[in-house]
Amino acid sequence: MLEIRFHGRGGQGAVTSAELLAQAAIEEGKYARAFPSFGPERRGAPVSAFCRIDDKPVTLRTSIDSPDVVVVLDPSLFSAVDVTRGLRKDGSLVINTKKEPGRFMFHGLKQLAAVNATQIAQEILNRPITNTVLLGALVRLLPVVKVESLISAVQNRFSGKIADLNVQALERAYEEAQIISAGDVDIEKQVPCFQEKEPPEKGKEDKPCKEDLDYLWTELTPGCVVQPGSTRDNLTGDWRSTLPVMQKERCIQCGLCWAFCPDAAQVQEPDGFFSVDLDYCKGCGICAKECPTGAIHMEKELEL
Amino acid sequence: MAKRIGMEVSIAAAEAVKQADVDVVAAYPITPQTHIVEKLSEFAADGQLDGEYVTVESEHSAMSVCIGSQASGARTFTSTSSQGLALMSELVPIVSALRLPLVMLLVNRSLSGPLSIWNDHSDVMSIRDSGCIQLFVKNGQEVYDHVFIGYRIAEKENVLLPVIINMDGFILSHTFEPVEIMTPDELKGYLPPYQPKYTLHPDHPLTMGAYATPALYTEAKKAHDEVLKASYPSILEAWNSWGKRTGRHYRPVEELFCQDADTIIVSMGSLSETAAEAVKLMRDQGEKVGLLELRLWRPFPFEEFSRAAAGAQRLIVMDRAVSSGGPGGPVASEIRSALYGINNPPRVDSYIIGLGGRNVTIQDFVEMVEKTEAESALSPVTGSTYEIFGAREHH
Amino acid sequence: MSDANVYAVKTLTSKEYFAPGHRACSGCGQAVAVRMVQKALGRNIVMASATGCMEVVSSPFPQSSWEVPWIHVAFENAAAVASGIEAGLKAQRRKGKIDGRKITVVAMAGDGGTADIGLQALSGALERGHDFLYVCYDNEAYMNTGVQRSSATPFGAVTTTSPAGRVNSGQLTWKKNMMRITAAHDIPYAATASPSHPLDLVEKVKKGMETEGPAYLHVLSPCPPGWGIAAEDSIQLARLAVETGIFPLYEIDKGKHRITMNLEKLVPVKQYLKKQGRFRRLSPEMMEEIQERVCKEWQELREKAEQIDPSAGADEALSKEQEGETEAAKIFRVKAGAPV
Ligand SMILES: Cc1ncc(C[n+]2csc(CCOP(=O)(O)OP(=O)(O)O)c2C)c(N)n1
Ligand code: SF4
Ligand code: SF4
Ligand code: SF4
Repeated sequence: MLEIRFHGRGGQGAVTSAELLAQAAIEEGKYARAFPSFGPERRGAPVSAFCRIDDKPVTLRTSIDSPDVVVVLDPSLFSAVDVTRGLRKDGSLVINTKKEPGRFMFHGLKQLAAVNATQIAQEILNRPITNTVLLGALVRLLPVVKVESLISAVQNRFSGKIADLNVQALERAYEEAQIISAGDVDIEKQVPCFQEKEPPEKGKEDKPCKEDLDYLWTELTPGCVVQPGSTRDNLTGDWRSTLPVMQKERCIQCGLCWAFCPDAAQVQEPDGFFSVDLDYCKGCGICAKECPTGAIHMEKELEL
Repeated sequence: MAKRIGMEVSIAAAEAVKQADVDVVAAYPITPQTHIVEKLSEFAADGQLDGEYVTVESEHSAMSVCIGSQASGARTFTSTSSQGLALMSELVPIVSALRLPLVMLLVNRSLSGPLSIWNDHSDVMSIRDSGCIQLFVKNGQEVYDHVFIGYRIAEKENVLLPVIINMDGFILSHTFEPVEIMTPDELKGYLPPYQPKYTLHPDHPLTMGAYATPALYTEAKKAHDEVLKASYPSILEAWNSWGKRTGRHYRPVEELFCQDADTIIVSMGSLSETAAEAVKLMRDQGEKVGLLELRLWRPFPFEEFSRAAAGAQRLIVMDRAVSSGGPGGPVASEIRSALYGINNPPRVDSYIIGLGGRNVTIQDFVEMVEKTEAESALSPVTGSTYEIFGAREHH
Repeated sequence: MSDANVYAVKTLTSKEYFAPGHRACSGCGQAVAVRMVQKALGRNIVMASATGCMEVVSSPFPQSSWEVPWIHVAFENAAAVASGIEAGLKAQRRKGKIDGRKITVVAMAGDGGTADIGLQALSGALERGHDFLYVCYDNEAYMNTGVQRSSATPFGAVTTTSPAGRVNSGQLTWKKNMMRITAAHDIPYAATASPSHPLDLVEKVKKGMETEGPAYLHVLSPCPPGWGIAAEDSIQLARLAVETGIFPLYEIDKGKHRITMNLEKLVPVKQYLKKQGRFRRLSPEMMEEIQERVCKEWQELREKAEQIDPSAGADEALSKEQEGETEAAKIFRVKAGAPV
């Protein structure tokens, strides 16, 4: 059985990727199951989706904690989420990056496929929806399913022009994906992006990755009462893929960027100017849009 | 010494609520609970009830108001029946999970369909697993007493759970009988002022009713379950100190001739009084019959129950609700599992009786005992799955 | 335009009562609205919230975004829970169990929790006359469960339960008018507000707080995923909703209608509708139908406002050029939604 985990952001289509892959496998007569991480995650929040493929019926319904393959739809997730958590020894990685891919290699990883999926999606689909693009890179790295099956799954799922464009994006990623195998790069000579990790302890695979939720039942407050303002511990800055940048010269200190920010991420400094609180800014762009003097513009968030 | 006064049991209940220094009452009228809330409205209108009476537009809102009020730190009371409970039932597990110690008088009535305003226990069985403390009482005095006892249990710092007092509709609520009403002096000190642990107040902002992800829901449920089970000694304490004060002693399980009984009738609520008469009659005729009255329903008093029942050969369990297509009446099923695994467990027979207000007579008890004894002579081990007793089979 | 007006939004408190770290979508218009409402409410309040987006994004145990006392119980009962809080505080105050200071009780819910499943509880609370402020955040669908239609979804909008089908396309009914429904309870204060107009919004929250008895505030809350708009556009869309007359800003103060943001000329609804994915399937006829209805309702509203208070409709129009105003100042005035 092959276990694949997708990491994306709410709204980017991670679940659709998993489903398309499963659909392609099923069309080939294999058995597969795809499902999301169930929860109330909003657009922009890190989410995951899972796909299992096998020659015999798949029965497991648990989330995938030790995947064979990890697919990352958005480069901003590398630092936001522990994407390689539990990745099996000799596993594979498929990533969206415009960086030199060798630096993503680490001990224990067998191979990786890298593609500038955001660019491809922008150019072909005119939107940064990278799910079908990464599927192209995935099948190039591993013949999980045939490209034709994947294309037919995409055509069944979408209609008309949207289907054609997605097929085009998938095919281009298949062509452009860069494949790196262990041994192709000298890991010792570079600062690795990811570290090899201990596999999860037996029986602990199912633990939530956030350690701070490891409360014992005896530690809960009566009635689960919660302290005020405590979401401040939840740094939503890692949702951001674009970043507001301010030109002080143009700012008249009117405070509108501050008033209209959904995340209270514009903070007035002692000099009267406003600065972005990177811990919370989700990069929505409202401040840039609403600034009456055009003092703010949005820039792509830096990759790892 | 308190004086015995003749009054309708519903009025005694309202009298107790008034005396318990309740701050807020929110309730919606439904037969047969109406007399309680009418009397409370009257008290409020006369200024005798020093609190707010919120005339809500539904039972769902009744419980919602109670949750809000109790969360603000006010001692709160509500009462309902049947359809009213069904409508508010979304909120019953929430009020207990929020650990809000209100007291509710549930005037038991059957659930519709078909519509029936008369008494049985199908309403309460639907919220059996809601995490509230649940008791059954059998006469006007017990109703009156348990309003005070209920608040004393509920508000203990290590409990903080709602208490639901079950009283049978009509049979109990609409009966005129003597009740000892306590004087303020006699009550003094039994119910200390409510000292909530957490309240909604700007002086100490906090959040109530956060949702739990899969990483914590199990822990939240476990904590709730443990606190419900751990409320047992506090319940005993509240009864004991009430007993000391009034001479009226209550136990989780009340026994009548159980010690040497071969056959024990198990019942809950007002039926127990008729059952006691039947048992006395059969004893007079030399039958070794006993009565076990289950007063505490949640937390279930396993130990006391097994100790009291273990010596018998047969238990005849009276259920006032049907668990359709299930393993027996809801009480009988629980008792079967409570006794599972003990040495020589008694045979358990499940009878469903008194549905939708059907009268249950002394003769009915005698018949059930005779029938069970005859059947158990053939098979001493397993009892009937269940029987809806008294359903007409032919003219 | 005076400097005081330019910088007026800065008079809002810098304190955040709706703390960051909440999990609302990037660019959530409802989160902007909540944040502003909380700033106006301040700290001396107690809140009851219905189930819905703002509840879910703000309160995953063991965290909370609320800096004020806040409780969530269920979807349909925010008004009833608030009634209970109000009654509980009142009784305790009278009995000397808590001090005598006035604490404002606030209920909040989405349009589903208000206009649909919570309507009965709201009606009961308004009729009983509890002293509280009810805030409905209207994002025009059930967003928390994934964009299903509500009775507040506008005509023609596509949601997952009013899909673009071959036979029918989008919402087939007209938006339920909660202002008329609440006003019919003869409550002392009801108003609409929009996060695109912060000063107007804050003013109305304060009025609602000061009102003795029930007050109702209906706040438009653009939702990027639900409306099919870019995250950056939610405030702009809220402003357009006001300027097209689709969501007029007004209040009903002790029965008197007053338009708080008068419009000399309505911006064509097309400009608002075409920006949103949910209206992509609108036919030109439907668009026309919407335009007619908006004009008719705007006219009716003006008549009501003028009939009662002839001076009311005479406020300077937002879109009207002010004398000697610089272009930058005008942009600002429009963006801040400063009442003239
Ligand atoms: C009794 C009940 N029915 C259904 C639900 C599911 N539910 C939760 S929130 C919600 C929709 C909320 O919509 P709205 O009130 O408009 O708020 P929004 O999420 O859009 O802000 C629904 C249908 C529920 N929680 N309780
Ligand atoms: S909105 Fe623009 S001009 Fe106003 S304070 Fe912010 S950056 Fe400065
Ligand atoms: S982009 Fe601007 S408005 Fe959006 S979260 Fe960041 S600072 Fe706030
Ligand atoms: S779905 Fe809409 S209302 Fe809900 S958090 Fe996201 S943007 Fe806000």
